Amino acid sequence: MGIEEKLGDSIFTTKLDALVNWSRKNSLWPLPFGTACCAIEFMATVGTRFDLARFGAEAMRFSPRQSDMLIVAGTISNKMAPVLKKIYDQMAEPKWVVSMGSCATSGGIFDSYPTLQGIDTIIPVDVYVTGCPPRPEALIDAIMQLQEIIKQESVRRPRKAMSIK
Amino acid sequence: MSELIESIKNRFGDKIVSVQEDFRPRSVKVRVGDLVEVMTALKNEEPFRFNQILDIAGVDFLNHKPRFLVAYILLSTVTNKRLIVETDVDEFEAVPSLTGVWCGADWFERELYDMFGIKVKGHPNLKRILMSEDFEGHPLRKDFPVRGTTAPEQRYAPWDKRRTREY
Amino acid sequence: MFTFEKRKKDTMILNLGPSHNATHGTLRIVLELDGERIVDASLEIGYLHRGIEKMAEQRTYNGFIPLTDRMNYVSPIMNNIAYTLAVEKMLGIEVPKRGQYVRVIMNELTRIADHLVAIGTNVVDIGALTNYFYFFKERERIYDLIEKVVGARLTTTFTRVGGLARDVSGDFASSVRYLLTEIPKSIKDVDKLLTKNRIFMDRTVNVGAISQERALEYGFTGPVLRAAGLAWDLRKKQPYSGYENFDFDIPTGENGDTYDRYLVRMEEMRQSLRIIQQAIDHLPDGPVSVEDPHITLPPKEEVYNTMEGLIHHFMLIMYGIKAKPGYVYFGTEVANGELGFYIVSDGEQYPYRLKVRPPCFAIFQAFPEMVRGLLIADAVAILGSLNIVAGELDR
Repeated sequence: MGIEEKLGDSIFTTKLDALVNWSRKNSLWPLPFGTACCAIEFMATVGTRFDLARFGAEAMRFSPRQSDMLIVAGTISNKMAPVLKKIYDQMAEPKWVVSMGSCATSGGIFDSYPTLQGIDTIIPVDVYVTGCPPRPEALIDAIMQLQEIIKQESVRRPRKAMSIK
Repeated sequence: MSELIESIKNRFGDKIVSVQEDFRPRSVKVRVGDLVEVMTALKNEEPFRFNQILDIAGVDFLNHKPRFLVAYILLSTVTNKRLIVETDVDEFEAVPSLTGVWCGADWFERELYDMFGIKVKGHPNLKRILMSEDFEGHPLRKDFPVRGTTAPEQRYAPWDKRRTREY
Repeated sequence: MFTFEKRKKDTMILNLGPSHNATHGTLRIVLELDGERIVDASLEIGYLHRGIEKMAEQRTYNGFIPLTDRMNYVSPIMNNIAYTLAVEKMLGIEVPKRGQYVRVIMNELTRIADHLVAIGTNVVDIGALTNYFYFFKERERIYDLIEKVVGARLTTTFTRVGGLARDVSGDFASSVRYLLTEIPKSIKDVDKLLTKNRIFMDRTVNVGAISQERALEYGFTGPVLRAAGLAWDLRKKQPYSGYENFDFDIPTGENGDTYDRYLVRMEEMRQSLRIIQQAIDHLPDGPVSVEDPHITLPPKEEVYNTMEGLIHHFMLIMYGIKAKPGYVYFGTEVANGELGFYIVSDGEQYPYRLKVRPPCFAIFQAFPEMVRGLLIADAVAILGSLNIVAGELDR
């Protein structure tokens, strides 16, 4: 544009999408919906050694209105499913969902009468993490993959809302 | 015969239907009608002093009569002894509530009702505890399949179709 | 669903959970408030009910061990050991001395790990975040050791009926000794930060007190009962797995309040370190599992090279262990109290009925009695001090 030539290094130009996505991906506020064993590994991820703060995702918010990344960590039973759905609905756009662990992803080893066989039957999921429970490194990898997904989004185009019956 | 079983037999006489000494802890079997009386004595009287109820476990013997066995697992922190008191109960019978003897029996009896459908007479708040209230069936009965009676995709009832809550 | 029958007109209803940061899992507490005072509380559990007892009826005795990991997921090894001890009691076998000692070491390390999380998260809810990071540093070190021994961090499946999955490696003793020097430092740090801390004491002393009689009546066990003043510890009173060989004390509290529970847990960690020290100093040699081909798998060389070994391996994997008809109840002292397994066998390779006696279940039902008349903030502090783990509460 030529504006840099006049003002020097004090400004730089970029695309709006790139700016918004950059700020979104580096300040993900997670809502840890921790129900079972995965929540303990999530605690370890937040803890001293793995330190989720390096990825800008340390500001835990247990209120769905304030957070934009829902981490479902643990088995979801049929009794819990409406609560999860409600919490997802209460989150403001943009919002992303990480399904942490086998139980949240597919029911895992709990193929039994009270468990929901995967949270993707009720809410859309962006990143799945395998493992029972996943190691903290796996969760960190999932968050980095989510950052890649966020980088490709556009503010002008509405987010592709998955329709779930 | 161990000391404990002997003193129980002396104290309760023919209220004890049978005793089992091969397994640990030892168990005695009583009739449903005598349960509260026996338990009250076991808790308060001197040689027994079973001051804790640790668990209430139901067992479903399908196609037997009577169908269920209810095991009350007791512990005495005074004498450092354990005892299991068993009772037989049929499908449409009820066991008396022990909440008047140990208040800790409350949730265990609710669980018994939830999982086996055994009614507990005199319980102050007999509702399902682990399953939601609109769940059908009693999961730990032997005729209940492990994957449930409804297909997985139908198990979850959508939120808006659920009845509204009181608050 | 929730009905307070004697509810006064001007009281307010506040819902804590099922998704709340202080519930550490999935519990629902409905508080009835008069201003900021709690008039009554009503509890709902079952949000993490996964049908573990039902699934046990379709699994072999060894096949159920992975599910025990997921019951109390804060200290999985203790569940493994508690379950296998119950089955061993039913089969009437005793693990060799080395197996027992390794079990004791891992058991006590896991007890420390459990208390680290219990205290750490409890004080986070009260508002002291630093201790959580101090404690998780140690927990990661314990994880490292568990990973070295077992191969997994959290879901360990450490034991087998009749012994252990495998023997520990050569540097096990030195790794444990390293932990014995490191863990006390963090405990000391947190002790300095919290034990005489004015704010912490204001928040916890005389909060959620329960008398010894009421605690016994409710079926309390473990640190919560000991905080109420009764020195009841199954490791001492009904020793199992070689605990009678070790010298340790049972810490007790006086008032049974939140502060006493904190003190009891802190002291238990120190006592656990003592036990580990004694066990590692006297770690015997020999096998870790019983050598009975009907119960434990034969060594791999035998399976590959001899016919009998192959047959034993095949029979054990395909048909499992068979117990004679009968029942057993066996309780062990885990971090929260007495974890018991009531197993009924009908002679087949699957348990006919398996009932878990979770310590939290009895403890949590006394929660309304503890919070009545206190402030909302106290409810959070009490809940943390009880260390309710939803996985074993709901099973």
